Amino acid sequence: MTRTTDPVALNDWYVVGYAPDITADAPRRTRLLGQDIEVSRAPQGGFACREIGEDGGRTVPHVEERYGFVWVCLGTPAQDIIAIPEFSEGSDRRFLHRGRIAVPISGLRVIENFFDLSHFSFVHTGTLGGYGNAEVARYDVEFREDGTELWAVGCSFVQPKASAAVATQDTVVYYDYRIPRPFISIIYKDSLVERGRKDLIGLFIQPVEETSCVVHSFAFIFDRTNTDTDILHFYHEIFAQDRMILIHQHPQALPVSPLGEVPTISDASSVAYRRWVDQSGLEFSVLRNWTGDQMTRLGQVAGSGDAGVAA
Amino acid sequence: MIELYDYILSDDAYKARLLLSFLGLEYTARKVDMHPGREHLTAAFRASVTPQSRLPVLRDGELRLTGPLAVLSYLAMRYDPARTWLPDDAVEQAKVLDWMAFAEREMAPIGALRLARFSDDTLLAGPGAVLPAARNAMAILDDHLAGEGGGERAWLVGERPTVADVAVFGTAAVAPDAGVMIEDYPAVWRWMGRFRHLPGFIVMPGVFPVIPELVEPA
Repeated sequence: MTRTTDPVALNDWYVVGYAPDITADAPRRTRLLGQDIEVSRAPQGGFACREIGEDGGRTVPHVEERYGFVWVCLGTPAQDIIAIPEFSEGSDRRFLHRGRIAVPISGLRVIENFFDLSHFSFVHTGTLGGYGNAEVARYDVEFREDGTELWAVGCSFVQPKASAAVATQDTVVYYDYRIPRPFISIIYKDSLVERGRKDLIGLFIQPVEETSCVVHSFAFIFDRTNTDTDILHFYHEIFAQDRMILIHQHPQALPVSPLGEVPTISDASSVAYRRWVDQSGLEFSVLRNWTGDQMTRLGQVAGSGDAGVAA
Repeated sequence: MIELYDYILSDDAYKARLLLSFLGLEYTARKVDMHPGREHLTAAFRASVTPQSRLPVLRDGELRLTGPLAVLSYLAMRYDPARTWLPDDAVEQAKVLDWMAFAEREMAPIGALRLARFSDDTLLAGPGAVLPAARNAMAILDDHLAGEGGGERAWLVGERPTVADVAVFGTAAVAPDAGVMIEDYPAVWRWMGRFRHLPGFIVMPGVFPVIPELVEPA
């Protein structure tokens, strides 16, 4: 695929790598919005980014390091990189890079799955949900920051093991989801270790192509007992379960037409997200003409799982 | 005391976890940061755990074993006095070893492609020649399970599940992570259904359990 021409997608910021992984000896070759790029350490400090093309390439002027990650905007930034005030709190939270995980599906579908509550009991059985407590309690959807951010607030769920830090016991866990950009979501989850404080878990999606992405993510949490490896195993279990569901989703881009699917009340956040994405004018990874009746047979759906990653 | 060096997303480590569960054996898990830490490639890991830089590694007293073939064979011979998981019969045992070798060799492309696709290592290069090799392994498995001129085989060797089934299942069950969809292999799909009903069966991330309510309506 070639670089997208979608100005809404091009003028946004995306994480393309974890800063400590990119060294003077090891620049990162990757792809963003269909454009091959190389991210490297700049001689004068910080990071540099170059588009790689048959014409010899071009320097990308908009490269920033923030929150431990390297951010790139291929166009002209329409706004600043999102603010995450908790990072400047001088916090006693622990920061963990959760590793990058590639998924051959629209990055928007990864975000939608992240804030979906109803799959917990059936996909994350034993950790984030259980068969006996599958009900999704009412929550609210709000627009904040002058309507530029979507939030799902007052979410709650009965979780057998809400984090690596807690013993296995059914507990009602409360949280809010912040979706500040179409390809970014952060969960603010009531800490079960430090009462009254929030654990943060964030997903920064690198949209590689329309139907493939790399998920960069962090945890910024209260946990004084587990090793980093213990916590990573907990997260990777959950992520691998999600990934197996995501790679079977069809269509692979995010359908935003209200005609396409039949939501229930527990999908309020998903409905709001799709309308919000639709109104943003974003085209990359979005399917506007899907009406749900173009069902393909199972084999074609299964075979399409390769399309995203294959060059 | 048995110790297992383990990574939650390792299909090979899952094979060891499965047999430990089938045999009802207690063990201590030693968690390894394969991704993103690449701990298994460090000098410290090679020196103190295994020079082979792979999982699983099983420790039982002074004994140390690396890789699913050795680990599964040892556990079956040492802790299954009934010898159902690794039969004594010469022909059956040879066939079991044949399928365990298949899991290590022919199915290796599935495991490699899966880990490469989890990280974004194949992003720019694409899966290349590995994907046809991965599909070929699944086709061989499907043909065998489909049987010849009659009913399907319930298990890879003989009339009961063996360590051959464990070794092959552990990788085949997560083949979709590598872009190899199980729906394309109907006999494999049904064999996996039987396998998931075995007493002591446990899942790994990406493998889903049989939902009990659907099996036995209340």
